[in-house]
Amino acid sequence: MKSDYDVLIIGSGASGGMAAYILTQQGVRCLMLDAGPAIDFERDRALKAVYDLPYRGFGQPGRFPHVTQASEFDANTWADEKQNPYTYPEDDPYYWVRVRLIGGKTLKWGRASWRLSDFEFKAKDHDGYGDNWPISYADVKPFYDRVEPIFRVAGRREGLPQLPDGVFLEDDSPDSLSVQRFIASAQKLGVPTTKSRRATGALASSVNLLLPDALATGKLTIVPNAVVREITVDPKTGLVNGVNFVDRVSKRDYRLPARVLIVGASCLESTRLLLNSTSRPYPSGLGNSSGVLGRYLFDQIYVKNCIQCVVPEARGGKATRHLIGGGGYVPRFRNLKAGEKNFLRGYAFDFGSGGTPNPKYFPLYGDALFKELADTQNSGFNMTTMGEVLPRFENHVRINPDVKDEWGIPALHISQKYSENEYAMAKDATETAEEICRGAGFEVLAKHAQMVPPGESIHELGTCRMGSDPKTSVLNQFNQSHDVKNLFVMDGSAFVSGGSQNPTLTILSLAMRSSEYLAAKMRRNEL
Amino acid sequence: MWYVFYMKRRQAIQSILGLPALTALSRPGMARSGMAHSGLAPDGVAMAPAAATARTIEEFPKLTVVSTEAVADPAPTYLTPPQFAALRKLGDLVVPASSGRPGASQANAAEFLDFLLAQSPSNRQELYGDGLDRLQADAHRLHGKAFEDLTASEAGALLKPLGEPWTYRDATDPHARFLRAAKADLLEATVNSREFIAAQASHGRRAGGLNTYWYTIE
Repeated sequence: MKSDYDVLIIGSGASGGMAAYILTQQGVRCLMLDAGPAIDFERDRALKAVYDLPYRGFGQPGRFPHVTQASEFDANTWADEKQNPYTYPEDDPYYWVRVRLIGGKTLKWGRASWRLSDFEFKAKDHDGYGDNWPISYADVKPFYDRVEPIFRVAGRREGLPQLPDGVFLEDDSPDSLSVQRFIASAQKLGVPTTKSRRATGALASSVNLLLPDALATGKLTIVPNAVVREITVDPKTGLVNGVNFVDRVSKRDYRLPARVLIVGASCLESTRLLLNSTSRPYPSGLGNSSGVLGRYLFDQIYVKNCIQCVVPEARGGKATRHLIGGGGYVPRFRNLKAGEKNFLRGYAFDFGSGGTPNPKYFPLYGDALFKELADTQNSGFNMTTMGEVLPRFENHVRINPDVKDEWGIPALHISQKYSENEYAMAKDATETAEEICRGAGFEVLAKHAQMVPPGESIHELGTCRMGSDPKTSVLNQFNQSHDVKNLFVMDGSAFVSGGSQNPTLTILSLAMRSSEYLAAKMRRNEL
Repeated sequence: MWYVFYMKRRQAIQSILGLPALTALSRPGMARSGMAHSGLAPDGVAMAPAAATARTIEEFPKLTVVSTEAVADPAPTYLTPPQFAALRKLGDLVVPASSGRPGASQANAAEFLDFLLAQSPSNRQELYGDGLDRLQADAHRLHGKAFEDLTASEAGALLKPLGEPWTYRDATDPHARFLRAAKADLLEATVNSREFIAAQASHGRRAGGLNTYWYTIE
């Protein structure tokens, strides 16, 4: 064995990065594999004009049919869909958005940092649907309290039970007049609002906030371009004994032993790896005695720009900073009393003041269009809906043995459909958005309730969920496999439900909690 | 005539971009057509070389180069001539030039979209091909002339779907779908062009179009 380490970590994003951050501080030697290369911020980027790009900003046609977030500027930072294929039912497209770089999706995330509450952790107790998490908000709160300062989360304390306050850089910035009008209109309808809660700084990533500190301990070794094929187990003990991986560039195969393995390769990649790791003890995938590995896939509905308005007083070049600018968040307010609406659970909104409406909203062209664009310059006001998706057994992933990636590893088949519950929620959200905006005196240009396809929110969750019962869950409350005690899966695949809050802050906090549990177990020689 | 057009276009771009160095460039045809250049030395007189810069053999000088579009006009190759003419006319209608603002023609938006369409998925190619054919067919049927020869008012009657309110779902009528797509594409191709951005900057507005580009990461 060439390297000497205690824990092998697969993935370097939110969960892998946090695991390395915590474990190395506690003296645990870690080796980290990531399927992608490391960014060299000096060498890999440059300021360019859009007209100097080959496709004038349109991007190479057909390169990213499922990554609507990719632009021609950053196309090289998203996982290539041809190298990394996957399949889905013909009529139900799934948009799987991946990043294969050291740092993973923490290089890309929107930084929205919301805590879950017991409306999520104990959702079944609230409305009878689905399953509770095996933990409550009180279990995770101390870790939220520690993660927020690391990521320098700015926000405003509101005292809302459905959106617990955190340890924030206090955001006491004043609201523009248009935002004040929006808040007043929402209040009349009993709809709460708050400031956005976001990680701050030039970069808020594992790459700058977690991995450098872990490396500084001298206890972490990072290996880029290591695409893990499978996890192997000792047939006698049933415990993980190593991984087989292939070098992304040379395509040469390698082998690494492991005493303890943490998988944090991102929600669906982690589950794919477990499903591809079959053996005599685990013929349907590693740690899958329950049969639910790959099941209960969910994400969050997104209705992007569900309403686009113009603030009338800002027309004609009057979009002053006093009137226009800023934004905020509407936390979940539906079904805080169970059974209020004809759907379960709830949704949230992002809202923003400013910007010029997209030309597509105006039924004009030519000089008339340019005149309208000039008149509405920076006078826009828009909202986007994010809503809870019910975790359902039938939404699942499985291995498609007929399709393999660039490295010969079987691909995923992803099957997720939204139900009537999500459609009803989206409809209610758009109607509410219109009511608030009209109440604020805004001019409604366009509205719709069309959800983006499953996956596009990049908030895929579940498929390797935690639970108290090994017959209905894959992991225990510490992200540890019920079946394989030296296997931990620490990313979003462990979620039991997700609410409407962006999941990264919770992934980070759970990874911190589970890593401390793991370190304690190792200190006591229990692993 | 092509030369006159070329020079006017190049000069216009140069004046927008402030690229006087381009006047020193010539196209291969210029020498053959015997066009005198004021910078040429008389016959039999050798030009004095610029003062040589002292360089060691270990140095690798970085040469100044310009992009292809700064010196050459794009050559459309994908659309048929009638389709291309219709797209260019559509560009003039959807994104006309006005004072201080280049339009689709000045931005070579149609030429760019011809290039983009050549590499696009087949459904996109069909949408454009059918839509442009329809514009030509309707122009001939209603006015007895090509779409590019219609007056603005005659052509406007063929663009009525662009006056329909926006809906999230695509229009069911393929021609309306085409017109919506072409409007968006012609606008984007124009505002992302060198010509448009240079004109914006020259009018004191914020220079747009700059962003962080990521190279392939290895």
